[in-house]
Amino acid sequence: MIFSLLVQESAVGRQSSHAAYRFARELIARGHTLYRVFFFGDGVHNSTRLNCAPAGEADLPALWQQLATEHGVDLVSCVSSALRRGIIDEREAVRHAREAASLREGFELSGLGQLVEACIRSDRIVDFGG
Amino acid sequence: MTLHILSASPFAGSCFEECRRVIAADDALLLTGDGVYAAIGGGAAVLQELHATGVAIVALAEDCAARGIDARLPEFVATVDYGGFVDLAVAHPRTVSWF
Amino acid sequence: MSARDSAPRRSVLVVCRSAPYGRSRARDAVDVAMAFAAFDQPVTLLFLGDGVLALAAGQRPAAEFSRSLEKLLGTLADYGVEELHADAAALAARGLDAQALALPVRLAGPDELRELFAAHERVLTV
Repeated sequence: MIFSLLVQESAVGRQSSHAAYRFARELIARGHTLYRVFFFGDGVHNSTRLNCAPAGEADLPALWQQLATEHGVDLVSCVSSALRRGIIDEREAVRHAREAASLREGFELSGLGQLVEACIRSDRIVDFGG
Repeated sequence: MTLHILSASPFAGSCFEECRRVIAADDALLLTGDGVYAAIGGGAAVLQELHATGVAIVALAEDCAARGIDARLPEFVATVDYGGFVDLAVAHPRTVSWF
Repeated sequence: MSARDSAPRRSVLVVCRSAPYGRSRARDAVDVAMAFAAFDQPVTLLFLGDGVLALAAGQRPAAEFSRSLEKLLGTLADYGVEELHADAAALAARGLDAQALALPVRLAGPDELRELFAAHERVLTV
């Protein structure tokens, strides 16, 4: 079966995106396909490259990146959620004259159309909000 | 056939009550995160009513253990790991998240 | 024929459970519903629980700090989001007059709510 996930909260201070990651790993281990993870609202903080996870804490942005590298999962952060929160790629950094880009490699910024497309293409979409 | 996923404490807001109003007899309710607290105290009686109508009540085992309530789960609450969570999602064409 | 003309359609129920302004979730739910409509997907927007507070008429947020959700709601039909439902019990509990909301919506009792959830292939709570 083809899955996509919607992640709406930051990995810091909330459990839901950790649950999403665990679910993602498990569905792949069971032979299903993870097509896309769409990060929306505060969920875009999962796509930062500037976080510094203390020893002993899961570095979720790095874990998502690794998941994408290993399994070709499409990681998309909603561009309008991301820009507001300072999660920007090189193009947006130049466009808005910001000193640096903050989007982690392996993620891309795109619109809500990618969420719509994921809903169309996937057999199951699981919403990890809250 | 819907899998309802409750991940907020039933004592913290209204999502448990709203979920209860729309859940149907052939649905399943998975308690995850702080949602596992629905299995104790006043929530247990509500879950028992739902179970009696045919709703499958399931809880994520590690979230119960993390919160120290795994030994207090009513017997009609089945427990699963993340693999079981995936299997539930596969078995139900629709998932609804309550948080 | 464009790719969009032949795209499959999956019905989606977007659920708004959050009051407006204190958090951005209500606005986000509207944006998500509009995105589905823009891609020609059958979408229904349901205001449940505190989400019905987004429908209160006469919203006047201070301009520089907040954009009016009521104005955004007013454009829903233009963007193809026409199926709007609200939890009747939640409106009553919050003292909102169902006849004097920011825009017309279909009132849903418990049976209608259950039917709405069962009738859509996808449900997304924002």
